[in-house]
Amino acid sequence: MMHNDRREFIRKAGIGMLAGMGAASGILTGGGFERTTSAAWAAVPGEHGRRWGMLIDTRRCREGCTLCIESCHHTHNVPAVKSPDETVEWMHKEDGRELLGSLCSSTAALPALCNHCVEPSCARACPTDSIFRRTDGIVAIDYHRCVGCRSCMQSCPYGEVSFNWSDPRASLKNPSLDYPTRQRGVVEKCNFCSDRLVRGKKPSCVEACPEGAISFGNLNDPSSEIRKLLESSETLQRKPELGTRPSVFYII
Amino acid sequence: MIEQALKGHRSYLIWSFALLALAAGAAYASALQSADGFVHTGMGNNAIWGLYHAQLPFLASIAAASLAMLVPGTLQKHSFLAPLAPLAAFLGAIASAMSLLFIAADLGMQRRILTLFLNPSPGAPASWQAPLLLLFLALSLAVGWAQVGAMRKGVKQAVWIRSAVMIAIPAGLALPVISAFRLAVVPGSELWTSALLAPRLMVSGVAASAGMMLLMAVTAEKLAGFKAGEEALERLAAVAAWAGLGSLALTGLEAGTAMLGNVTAKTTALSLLYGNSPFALASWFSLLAGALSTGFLLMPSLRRSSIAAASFGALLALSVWLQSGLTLILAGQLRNGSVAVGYAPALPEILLTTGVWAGAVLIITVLLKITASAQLEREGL
Repeated sequence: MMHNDRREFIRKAGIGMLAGMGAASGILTGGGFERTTSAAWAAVPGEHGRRWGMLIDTRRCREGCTLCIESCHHTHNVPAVKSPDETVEWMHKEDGRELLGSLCSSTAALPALCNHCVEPSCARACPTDSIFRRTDGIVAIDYHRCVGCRSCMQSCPYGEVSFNWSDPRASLKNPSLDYPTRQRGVVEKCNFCSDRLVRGKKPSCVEACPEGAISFGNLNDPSSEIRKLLESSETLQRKPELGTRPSVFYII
Repeated sequence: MIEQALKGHRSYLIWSFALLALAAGAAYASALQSADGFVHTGMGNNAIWGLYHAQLPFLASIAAASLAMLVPGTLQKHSFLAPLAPLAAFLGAIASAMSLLFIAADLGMQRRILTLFLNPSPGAPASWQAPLLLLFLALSLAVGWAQVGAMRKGVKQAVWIRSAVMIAIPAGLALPVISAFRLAVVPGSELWTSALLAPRLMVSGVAASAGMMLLMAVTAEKLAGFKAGEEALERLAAVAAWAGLGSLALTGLEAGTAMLGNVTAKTTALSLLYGNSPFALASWFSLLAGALSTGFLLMPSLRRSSIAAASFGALLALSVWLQSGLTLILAGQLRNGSVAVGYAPALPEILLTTGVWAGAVLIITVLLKITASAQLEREGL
């Protein structure tokens, strides 16, 4: 009798724990894949609310030009750390094949930044909710809440989260007064210029590009310029197979 | 009871002071790190996590596995593991305390450590880790201490111990699951997103903790007169052997599925572990040491000799530490295609890690000493 009770108890404890863990850890998140062809965009069931997105027309992106990156890094006081193992980047240029896989015919260096995923794995990794998805689709970081465990950095499949291994203020030559600086020991990444959006401005990389290669807008609004471009062009996302649903698109 | 910690043979005192010196080294390294951040470590953009995080899955599995010895020893009326129950409780407590220390050491913003407890995000597996570790630490420490006290006084264990153990069961079992889920949130990392990771941690943890307890019990028996009983030791060796076999089987199943299915992502992950990787040597050593020690422990004639059982138990524990501790984290974070830039821990990092381990060994030594003196005192009455 005693024996049966114990076995029963252990079984119930186990089932209860599994159910609790399952519910709590959000294993059951929504579906993953997002087609990016024009036909697929037209067929997307309308999602409500705003989802900021970016479209980079790489045909217009000039070889060797880094104006978008310079503008971004200046606007947000991103430190220019010299040591290659400690660099902090919100935006950078990377080989097209590396970035977009074999579908990309170009091996030119293309701009890359945080994808502001609909299913951000960084947010699922953060123990303190310091990195989170806002209702407008922007994945934001609370620098004052971040404990510096680097779980988000580890879990970003695009490698777009940077950690301040050293004091970032020491590497800032000409700080901008419009955006705070960070401290050593916290992570940072592109914020889709949420600081400029509230002031009615466009993201700084969009403004800085002399070729107008970068478009920005609400992906959920069928009449937005970016949506029209998406529906009329073949576009690629980075690693769509991972089901993170990036909000940054590329025209090759 | 505590006064027994300060008395003892000269060798006991020398051993304790040596461990204390190593722990002091950790304090120094920790101060260095608080002042200058991670610049004194080998971590960087190519090795986001290093030695500190590499201890966490192993320690979580040890904490959970202590339940395998603690539960029969406290909830069952007649168990051959009863004499080892306090030892198991202390092992669980120490593993969770070490985990908390390594979590703290790995934070870039150490002064915000309370955020882990005050502002958790329940949807993220990582946020369950520190609070559950703290709960498990408190429960197992209380249970172990109360049991040694009861043993010394020669009375039955207190009734509340049963309730404490029952709360500790789900908390403890959740620890390796959370450790595995913390890694499972990394998309595209085949070594970490495997569903076998949590069961592997649990089974290998039982093997490693049984191995470590064999080493501890036999050493304490030879040096301090601690009595675990011959039967308890032999059963413990059998537990280590069968759990070791289970762990090897799970490793084999994982590799077999990857290779038979010829799943590129999975075979690439395996080659990062065993093939073209700076960690291949450690992985192969871990596999061979695990197979060897499990094989020997499976032989009844060998495991009846307490010295042989303790040595192979220690080898098994080392193999599991390399597998679910070091190589899992360090090789798992290597990105496919990118140059496998080896991670080499820096001196302060090594000092801190060995210091935390030395502190743990010191506490185990003292606790074993207290337990052995409690036993001797009992017999003297």
